[in-house]
Amino acid sequence: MAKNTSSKHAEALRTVLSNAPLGSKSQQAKDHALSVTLRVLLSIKASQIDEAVQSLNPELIDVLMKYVYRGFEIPSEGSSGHLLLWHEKAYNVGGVGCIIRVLSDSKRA
Amino acid sequence: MVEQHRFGNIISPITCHAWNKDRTQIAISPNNQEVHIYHRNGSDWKLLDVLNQHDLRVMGIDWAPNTNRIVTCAVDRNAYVWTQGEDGKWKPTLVLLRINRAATCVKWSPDENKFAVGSGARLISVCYFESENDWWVSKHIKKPIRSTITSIDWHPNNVLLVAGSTDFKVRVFSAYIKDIEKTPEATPWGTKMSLGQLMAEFPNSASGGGWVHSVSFSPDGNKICWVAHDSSINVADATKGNAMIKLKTEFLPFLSCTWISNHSIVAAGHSCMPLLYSLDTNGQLHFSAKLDTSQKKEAGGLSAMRKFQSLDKQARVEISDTNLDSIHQNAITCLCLYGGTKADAIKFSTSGLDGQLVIWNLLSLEKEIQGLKIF
Repeated sequence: MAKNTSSKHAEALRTVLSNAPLGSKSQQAKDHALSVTLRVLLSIKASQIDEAVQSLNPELIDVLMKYVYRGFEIPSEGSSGHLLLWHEKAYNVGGVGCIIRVLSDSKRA
Repeated sequence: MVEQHRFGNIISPITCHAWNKDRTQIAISPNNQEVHIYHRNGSDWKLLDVLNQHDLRVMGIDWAPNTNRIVTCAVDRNAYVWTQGEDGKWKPTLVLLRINRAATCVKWSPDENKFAVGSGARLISVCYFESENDWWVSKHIKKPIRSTITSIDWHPNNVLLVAGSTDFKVRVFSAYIKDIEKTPEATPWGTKMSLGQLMAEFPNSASGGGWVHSVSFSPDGNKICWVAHDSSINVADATKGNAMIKLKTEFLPFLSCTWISNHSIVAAGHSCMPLLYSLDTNGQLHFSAKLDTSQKKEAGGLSAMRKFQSLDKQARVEISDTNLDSIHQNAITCLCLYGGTKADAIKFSTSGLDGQLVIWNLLSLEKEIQGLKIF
């Protein structure tokens, strides 16, 4: 059962990241996607983050990093600490390059 | 081996540098309005001349090897062509660029009969010497440039020009001057080549953004590579229908790049070390090696003593070592070929914000780095 939910979470993560409306002009659509993505990120347990990050391709790591930084802007109870864990794991894979792209890309989360 | 050089007591950043034909002299700008010419004597550098004509910071220097002329451009919106007099001193000739913003980069064409200047005025000035009037004149390439030109490079056919810009685009233009040249032959980039003709345009990134920092034509002229502020390195190939390959790296952004063969690129920038990238036979771009082989400095046997010294001096346990584990101690801003040509480079030089000039030998690096195959 536990195994099943963790793979469901990873799948949810891939789905939200690969459908992220980064280029969208509608702020409403972006905000909605942000809240869904944050829900997914915060519901994945600390011990499963590594596995989830490993299953992402480099393109999605960049998107993940954009949402991590966006998530820092609207903190909720305990969210920032959890996002820092995500940040650490994504940084291990994407290096400083993916942080640079959060800053330099014009299509933002 | 890697050679490290400093020029006298200059500690300011080196904006850019350029070599003369036989690599005995170098022109550098110490991040101000001056250009210094140094002559190399073993490991010593003797200051021969200071080119002091610009009013504001020099942005670009290029030294034409065969005609032995230096062209410089600066933030004061001017460019000068320098020729050497009988007494060995350099004499300036003003070039009217007709721009209202800073000139940012300059490059002689391969035949050295014209040069191109990129600028903040959203245009490229292509300049050539008009012998009737004894005067350098410039023609403008304007459309469809929408922002500052940061970098330019010439195609080996002396006609095409690639330009990178802060509007996140890389463009290939024709810079054909019909007054001084015969009609160019067709290339894979296209056949129609009137001045200012846009031959190709590439967006830097699908996710938008990323100033283009540096562009380079491959030695055969069929490919271009560029590096941009999204830490990417990119290649576009005209023989494959302008197919683009983008590699998003895990490093800090590169500021300069050049081809060193038809399938290898050296790039360097904010990560302070030059990196080698290669195109494999499938046309995929991949990371080959870090060319800076500096090892992480060992804390050493004296660490306990240093620990207490540090506690004593700074009331801190950790030893604050601010040196980087690379030869350059700050971002590399300029990368030039030193030995060989783009088709068969064996040495290249880098300079940067730390005021150092470093000459890298690819032959000895290939032996030194395990599993590295450059040639």
